[in-house]
Order: sequence, then C-alpha cells, then structure tokens
Amino acid sequence: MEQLVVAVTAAAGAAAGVAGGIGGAVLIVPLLLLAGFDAPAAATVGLLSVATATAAAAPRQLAQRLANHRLAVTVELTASLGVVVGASLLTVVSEAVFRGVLVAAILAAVAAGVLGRPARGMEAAVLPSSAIGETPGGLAGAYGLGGRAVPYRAQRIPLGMGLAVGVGLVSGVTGTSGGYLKTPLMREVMGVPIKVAAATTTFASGLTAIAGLAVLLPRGAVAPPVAAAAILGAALGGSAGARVQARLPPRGARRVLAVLLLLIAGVLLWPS
Amino acid sequence: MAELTPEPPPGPRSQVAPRSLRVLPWLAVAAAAIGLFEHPVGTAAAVTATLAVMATTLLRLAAEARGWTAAADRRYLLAVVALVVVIAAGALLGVRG
Repeated sequence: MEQLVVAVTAAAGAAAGVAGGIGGAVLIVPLLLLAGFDAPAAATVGLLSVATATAAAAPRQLAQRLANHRLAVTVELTASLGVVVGASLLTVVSEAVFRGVLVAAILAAVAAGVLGRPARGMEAAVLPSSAIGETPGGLAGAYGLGGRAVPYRAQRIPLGMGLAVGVGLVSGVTGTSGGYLKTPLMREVMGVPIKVAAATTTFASGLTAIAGLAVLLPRGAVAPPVAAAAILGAALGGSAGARVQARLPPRGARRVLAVLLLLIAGVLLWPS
Repeated sequence: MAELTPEPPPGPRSQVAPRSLRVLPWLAVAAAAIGLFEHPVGTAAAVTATLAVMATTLLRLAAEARGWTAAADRRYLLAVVALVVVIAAGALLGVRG
C-alpha cells in the first residue's frame, strides 16, 4: 500500500511539475507529508524523483549541448556541502521547522515559476553554430539560437558559490532539487543565459540529489520497495509531463501549478 | 548582459554521450518495476534501480571530465574530486547515523 501511495504521488507530482516547468519534488514532498509520511521519508522520495528526472534528461541534454558541466561542478561544490548538512539535520529538526522551510521553498518555486522573466539578449548571435558548447578552462561557452551561437561567460563566481551553500541547505532539508533557486542564482547573480542556466541546473540537481541520498539512504529513511516505487512513478510521471508540456501554453500551465502549490502551502501551514 | 558580450570562440566540443547514459535510465525503470515486490529479488532490484539513477549522473560527470585537460581545467578537475569527497563524507555521516 505504501508503495502504491508513493508511486502515484511521485507520478502525479512529476507529471504536474514537469508540465509546469519547475520539476516534481517540490510537489511530491508536501503531498507525501500530507499523506502521513515523516519528513526523512518524504525528502528521500523527493530526492529520488530528482535523481530519476536528471538521469532521464541526460541523453537529450547532451545532444542539445546546453548544460555547462564546469559551471555545474563549480556551483555544486559548495551547494553539496549545504545539502549534506541539510540532510543530516533532517532527522533532528521538528516537523514544524520542516514544514516552515518547505513552505518557504514552495513560495520560492512559485515566485521563480510565475515571475520568471523571458529569455533576453538573444540578438547578439556572433559565432558559427560549430562553436556551441563549453569553453575549456573557463566558465563560458556558447549556446545555439537560430542556427548560430550566442556566447556567454559566468560572472561573480565567488558570490554565486557562496549563495549556493544556502540553496543546498534548503535542498537538503526539504528533499527538493532547489532548481527554483539555482536557476535564478545562475541567471541573476552569475549572468548566465536562462537556457544555459536551466539546463545546467537540471544536471546540477542530479548531483544535489546524490549528495542528499548519500546521507539519507544509509539511514533507512525509506525501504527498498518504496524507493523503487518512487523511481518508477517519477520516471513515468516525468515522461507524461514532458509530453503534456509540449501541448500546454507555458504561462498558463505555470499559473495553474502555482495555484496548486499555494494551496498545498496553505494546507501545510494549517494547524492540525 | 553577459550574452551580449563577444567572447573568444569556444574550443572543441567536449560533451560526449556514452551509450550507457542511454541504457542506465531504462535499466533503472525496469529494475524499479521488479523492486516493487517485497522479496529478496525485489530488494536487490530496488537497490539496483536506486544505484542506476545515481550512477547515470556520476557517469555523465566522469564522461565530461574525461574530455578536460589538466593544463586548462585543473581547477574543475579538482572540483570534481572535491565533490566526490563531499558525497563520500555525506555517505559516511549517513552510515554512522
């Protein structure tokens, strides 16, 4: 029965999250909490769904050559420290604190999803399409646009790495990818174009999930069959969500998801 | 404004897609389906599924880093090593409860 609840929740959360463009864990974790799972179990399922989504996206992302792996490793180096600390704290923080941090994460996800600005500065395509990819030895590269390549270079690296510790901490405590914070961090603080930031975040979120799972799985936060249910549900739901996403107006889908997340946040804050 | 600033052309394409990156997610899903059953075989399959989804991302990182040179990318190679150390420290914390 536990497997069924987790599989259905992971599938529904991943489908809605992917269709809405913000990932599934931020939906899956609160739903499991409301279904009666404890915080470590809900967070572990959330991180498993993130790891599954990143694994599924790998072939497509590598073909697109949008993600910057050097940037992901740089940001994730400090973020993973926060994740490990956050996941370690998960078993000692009270459920009230967990719910409070989770609601804050949900509000951040809503803000990033609904208020996120469209891509900008695309007109300066100055390189041939063969230049698309990462620049060796630096946090720079070029992404494809209309058959040409747009160059970019990450800025304010130390500040970005410092802020990533906080992002990782939130991810570790809540069991979410933190992508709703990481993409704006790369874009607004480090000046990385939104397409590259989003793709890099998807890869970096997989590393976040691994760091968190490394702490939580040995502690037996979930039984193996429950972990299997989470992976199966997230894989099927994520795949369905990606198909639905192509047919939905992105702005409208994000608004519907934002309302759903706000409702969940309200229920989480409601005194039981 | 970063994307408006002209940069020197990036070097050769570094991203690679080993076949295992395409196979591992499918292996994870298949193993997860078997892992739903509370049976020793199911438990082994569930553990396999969990390791497969985690390994996919680590394998992707390793495949990328293989294309980096020590001369140009030393700091990023060190970051990869440091990241693995942090994950291992997390696992140690998890094991020790």
